[in-house]
Amino acid sequence: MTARLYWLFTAAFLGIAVHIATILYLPNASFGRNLARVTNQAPNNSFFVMKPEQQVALLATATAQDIVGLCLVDVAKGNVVISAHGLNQLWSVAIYNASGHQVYAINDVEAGTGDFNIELSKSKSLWQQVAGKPDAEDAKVIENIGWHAELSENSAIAVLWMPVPDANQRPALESVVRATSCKAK
Amino acid sequence: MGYITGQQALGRAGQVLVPEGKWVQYISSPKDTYALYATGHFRSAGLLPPGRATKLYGREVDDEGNSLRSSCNYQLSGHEPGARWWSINVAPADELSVAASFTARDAILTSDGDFSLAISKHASPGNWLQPTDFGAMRVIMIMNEPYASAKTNSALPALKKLACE
Repeated sequence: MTARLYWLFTAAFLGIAVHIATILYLPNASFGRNLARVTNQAPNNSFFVMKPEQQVALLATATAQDIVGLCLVDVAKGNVVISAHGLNQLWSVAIYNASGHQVYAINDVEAGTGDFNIELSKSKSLWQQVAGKPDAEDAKVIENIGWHAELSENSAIAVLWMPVPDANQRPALESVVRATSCKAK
Repeated sequence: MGYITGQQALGRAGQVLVPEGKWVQYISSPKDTYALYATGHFRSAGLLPPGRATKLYGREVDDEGNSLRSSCNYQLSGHEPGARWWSINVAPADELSVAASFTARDAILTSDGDFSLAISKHASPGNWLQPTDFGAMRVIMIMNEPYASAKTNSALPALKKLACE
C-alpha cells in the first residue's frame, strides 16, 4: 500500500513537473526561434521597418497592409531612448517584455503629434529600492525628455504599428516611420 | 502525460466563446489567472500576443456550425466593427497569423454603417476578401482601439455559407 502511494505521488509529481516545464519552455523556444528568423538576427537597440511577410509572422494582430517597425531593446548597459515622430493619425508604440506581456503602450491620442521620446530603463530590484537613494535625490537625476517606462528584465521588444488609411500615402508614412530611432543613451 | 496536458492547455488557452455567436475571443491579459497559458498560446506559435488596445476574434465555423473551407463562398455581414481601425482576415485553421486581409481602408459601407463582405476565391462585386487554397480556414477579426460601445462583444458579424465548389 505504501509502495503504491509512493509511486502514485512520484508519478503525479513528475507529471506536474513536466507540465510546468512544457508551458514554460515550449512557448519561449518557439517564440525565440521565430523572432530570430523574422528579425534576421537584427542588432539590439536599432530600429527597422519590417517587411509585410515579417510583420504578419511575428504579430498576431498585424496585417500585411500595415506599417510595423521593430526594435530589440537591451537595457543591460544603460537606458535606451526611442525617438519617433507622431503623425496626426492612428499609430501606437508598444513595449513587450521577454515573456511576451505588453508592459507599456502609447498612441497618437496620448502622445499627440510631433516628435516624442520614450526612455526605457531597467527597474530597480527590491534590494536596490531598499538600499538605494531616497526618491528626493533620485528626482534630481531624472531628465524630462518625454515618456518613460521601466522594464523588469534587460531585454524587450518595441513595436511601432501604424495602419495605412490610403495606399497612396504608404511611401510618405513609411518614410516617417523609418526615421524612428532606437538607441542606447 | 504532463507534456500532453501542457500542449493541450497551450493550444486552448485564452479563448473565450462569445455568447450567442460562433466567434471566439482571444484574451491574453497579464492580470488573468491563466495569463501564462494565454500568452504561451501565441508564443508557442511564434507570435507576440495581442496588445491591450486590441481585440482579436476568430471563428472556424459558419453560422450553421459547419467548418470553414477555402473552397466555399461565404458572406460576412453585420454592422461595421466599432473600432478606430479594424480588419477581417483569413488564415489556415491551424495558424494564428493572418494570410489575407480586408481592412477598414477598403470597406464600402451602407448609409447606416452596415457592411457585407464576400469571402471567396473568385472575384465578387463590393467588399471582397480572397483566400488562397488553405483547405480548413479560420476567419479572424482584429479591432484596434475599440470604441467603448464595442467592448461588450455585441453585434459581431454573421458568417453565412453561400456555396461550395
